[in-house]
Amino acid sequence: MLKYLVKRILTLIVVLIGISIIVFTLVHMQPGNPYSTMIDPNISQEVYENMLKEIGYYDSLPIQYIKWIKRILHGDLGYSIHYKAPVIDVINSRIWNTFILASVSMILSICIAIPAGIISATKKYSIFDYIVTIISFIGISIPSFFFGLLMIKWFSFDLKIFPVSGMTTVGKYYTGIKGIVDVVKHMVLPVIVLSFLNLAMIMRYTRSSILEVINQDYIRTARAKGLSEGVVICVHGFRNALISIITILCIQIPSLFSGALLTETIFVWPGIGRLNYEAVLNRDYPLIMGILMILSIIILFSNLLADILYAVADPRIRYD
Amino acid sequence: MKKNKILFVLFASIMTFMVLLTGCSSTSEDQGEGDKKQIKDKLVYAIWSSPTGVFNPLLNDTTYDDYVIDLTYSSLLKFNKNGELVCDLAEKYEVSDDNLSFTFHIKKDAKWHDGKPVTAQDIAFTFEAMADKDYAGAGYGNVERLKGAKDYHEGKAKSIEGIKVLDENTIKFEFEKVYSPGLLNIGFEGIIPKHVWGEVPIAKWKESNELLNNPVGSGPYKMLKFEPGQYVELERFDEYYGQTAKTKTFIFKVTNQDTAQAELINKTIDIADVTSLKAKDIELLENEGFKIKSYPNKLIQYMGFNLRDERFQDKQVRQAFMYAIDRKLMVEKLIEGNGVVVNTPMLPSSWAYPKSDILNHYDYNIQKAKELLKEAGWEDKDGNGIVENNKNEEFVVELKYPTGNKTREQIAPIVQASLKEIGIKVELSSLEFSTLMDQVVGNHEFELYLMGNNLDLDPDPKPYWHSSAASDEKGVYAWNISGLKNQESDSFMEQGLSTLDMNERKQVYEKFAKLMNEELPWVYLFCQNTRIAYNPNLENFNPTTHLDLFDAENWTIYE
Repeated sequence: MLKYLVKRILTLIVVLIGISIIVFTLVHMQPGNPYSTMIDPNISQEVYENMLKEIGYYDSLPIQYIKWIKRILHGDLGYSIHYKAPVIDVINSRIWNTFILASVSMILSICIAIPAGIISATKKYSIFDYIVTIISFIGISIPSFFFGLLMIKWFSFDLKIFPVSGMTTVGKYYTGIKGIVDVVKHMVLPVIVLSFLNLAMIMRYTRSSILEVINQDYIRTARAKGLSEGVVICVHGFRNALISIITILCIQIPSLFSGALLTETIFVWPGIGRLNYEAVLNRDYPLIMGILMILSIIILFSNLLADILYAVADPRIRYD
Repeated sequence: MKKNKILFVLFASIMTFMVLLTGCSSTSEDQGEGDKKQIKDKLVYAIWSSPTGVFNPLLNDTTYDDYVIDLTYSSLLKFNKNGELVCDLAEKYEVSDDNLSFTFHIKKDAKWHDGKPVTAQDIAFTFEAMADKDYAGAGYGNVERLKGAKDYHEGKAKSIEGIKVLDENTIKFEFEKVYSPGLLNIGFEGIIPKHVWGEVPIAKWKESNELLNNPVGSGPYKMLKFEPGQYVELERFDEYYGQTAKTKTFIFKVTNQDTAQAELINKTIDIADVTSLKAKDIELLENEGFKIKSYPNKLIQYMGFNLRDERFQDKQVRQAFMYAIDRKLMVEKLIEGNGVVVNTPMLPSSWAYPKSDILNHYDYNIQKAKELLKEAGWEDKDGNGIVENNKNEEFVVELKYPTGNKTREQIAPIVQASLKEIGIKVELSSLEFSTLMDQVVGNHEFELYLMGNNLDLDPDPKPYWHSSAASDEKGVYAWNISGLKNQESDSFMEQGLSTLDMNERKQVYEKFAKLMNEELPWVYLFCQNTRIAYNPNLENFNPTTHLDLFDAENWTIYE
C-alpha cells in the first residue's frame, strides 16, 4: 500500500506539471489583457505598454511560464493584478466561505439522499419511490438560478424569515454566538439550494447502485440464511453498492472548494466561484492560475482518496 | 487564526443543521430606539460587484473603488448643486492673467484621518507621484502638460518646474500652454498624504496591500471595515474641515440586480441603482413608497463604423445606416422612454451639447436611406434582397458586440432587422468584453461594432476623436476606434483646449458637433437615464450626471 501511495503521489506531481502547462497556455492565449477592460482614453500608449511590461505581458509564453513556475516553487503564487494583493491572500479570504457553504450542503444532502435512495430502491415502484424519483428529477432539471430566486421570493420577500443576500448583516458587529447565528441565518437559503441540487443526484446514484446489487446471488443467500431484511440491505447490499457511491462522492469533493457560481451570484455569497469568474473576465492571470492550480491539486487528491476508499470498502481490491 | 476558522466552520455547520432541522424561529430585528425625526445612524448603498480594495485615487481603476475614494478622500475643488466649481480643500484659488497658472490656498483646518494636517507638501507630492517614472497608475495624462512634467517623467529633472510650494498652505501649478481641462485635472484629483505614501517607494505602491485597503484621506468619511466581496463600511470623520457627515455609518453593500428590489423592500438597502429594471418593477417599488431619482447617464450607446473599410468611407453609406435605424423607437421600446436620442458624440446633459435645431436629427426614413445607398452605388440588381455595388459584391457586414450589457445585446438584432430593410445583410457575433476590446480597439479587426462611450465632465473630445488618437497598427490600442482622421475636426479640438473661456469653447464645440453630425463615424444611438430608487425618508439626496455620490455627507434618513 505504501509503495503504491508513493508511486501515486509521484505521478500526481507529473500530472500537475502537465496541467499547469496546459492551463497556463490556454489562459494566456485568450485574447485581451488585464488592462483591456480599463477604458481610459487619457492613458497614452506608452503608459499602457509600460503597465503591461510591468506584468511581463510581452514575454513569450515559455518565458512567462518559467517565471511563474519559478515563483511557485518558492511557494509564491504572485500578485493579483486586479486586487493588487498576494494571490494567496485573495484566495484565502474567499475559499473558506465557499467551504462552509459547500460542506454543510454536502453533509446535509448525504444524510438525506443515501437513506432515501436505499429505501426507494428496496421499495421499488412504491409511492415513496415515485416521490423520490419526482423530487430528484425536479432537482436535476431545475436551474439553480431560478430556484434561488424562488427561495428568495418565498422566504425573504413574502415570509421575511431569512435575509436576501450576503453573509452577515452589514453594520452590525455581532460577536460570539450572535455572530454565528447571523451567519447561519444568511446560510440557510444558499444551503437549501445547493443541497437540493446535490441531493437529487446522489439519490439517483444510490438507488440505481442498490438496485444493481439487490438481485445478486449473495443477497438471495443472505435472505436464505434467515437474516432480517434490514441487515440484508444495509450490510450486504449497501456495502457492495458503496463502490459507486464513493466514486460519486469523491467527484463531489472538489466542488466543496470550487464554489457554485450561480448560487454565489444570486445570494451574493463571497465565495471562490464568483472570484474565479471575475478573475477570468478581468484577465487577472496570476489569480486565475492560483485558483486553478489549487483546484487541480484538490481534484487529484480526491481521486487518490477514492482509490484508497475502494480498498477500504471492498477488501478484494488490493494495490500491490 | 486558522484554528479559529475551522472551529467556526464546524460551529456554523452544526448551527445550520439545527436551524434546518428544527425550523427556524427568526429573532426579531433590534428595534431602533428613540422618537420620530431622529436621524438613522446607518445608510446602505447597493453596489453590483465588490470593490477590489485599491483605495488610492492615483491607482484605482474600477467604479466601486471610486465610490469609496469619493467619500474618503477630498480634492482641491468640487461642484456645488448648481454645477458651479467651488472650493473644497482649497480656501480660494487664483488664475493668472495669462491663464497659465493656478494658485491654490489650502484650508488651514484640513486634517488627514490620522489627525495630521493637510499641507501644500501633500498636494505637491500627489502630483509629482503621478509624473514619476515608476508610477504604475493611469494618471500621468492629467499632469503631463504641466511645465517640466515630461522632463521629470523621463528622469531629466529632479523636480517638476510647474509645481511650486509657496508656503505650508499655498501651491502654484503652471502649465506649458493654456489648457482648458487643466483646472479640472488638478482640482478634482484626490489628494494623498505624503507621510503615508512617502514611506513606500512608488514602484512598490501597487503591492502595498495594507495601505491600499486602509485609506488615509481627508474626506468626510473614514474607513472602518472592508470585507472583500461583501461590503465596505465607512465611518464619519469628526475632524473633517467641511460640514461633518450627518449619517454616522455609510455602507456600500455588494448585492445583485436581480434581488435588489427585494432588499429595498425588506429595508436591507436604502439606495439602489434600478436602471436595468422594467417600468412595471419600478412601479412596484413606487407603490411600496420608494422614490425614484432619474438623471442622464454619462454613457452614450452607439454603433461604430470601421472607417478603414472602403465601403464605409462613403459618407452617404453611413448616413443611410443612420436613417435606416429607428432610434426613437429604440428609446421608446428598448429603454421604455427612459433616455434621449443622441445626434453627435457628446453628452446631451453637457453644457457643450449644441441646441437641437443645429443638428440633423436623421429621423427614421427608409426611403431616404435607400436613395442614399443608391447614390453611393449600392443597388439590389438581382432581387435577392441584398444590395450589390458595380463589382457585384453584396453588402454583407459583420457586427461585433460585447456580452454583459443587456440593453446593448438587444440593440444588435434590432440593427440587423433594420438594415435588412434597406438590403444590407448583417451577421452578428457576440464576444466576451475583453476579447472584443482586443479585436476592435487593439487590432482594428472589425466592420461594425457596438459599444458605450463613457464621457468625462469636461467636454474635450480629443482623446476619442483626434487623428493622433487613431491607429492602424495591429496590437496598438487606440481610442479613436473608428479611425476618423479629419483635419477640420482636429483643429476644432485644438481650439477648444486652448482657451479657458466657456463661451468660446461652447462655440468651438458647436462646430465640432455639427461636423460630427454630418460625418457620422458612428451611428449615435441614445443616452439612457440612470434611475435610482431610494428610501422615502432619505433627504438631501441629489445625485446628478458624473456625481452619483454628490453631497453624500448631507444625506440623512429620518427614522
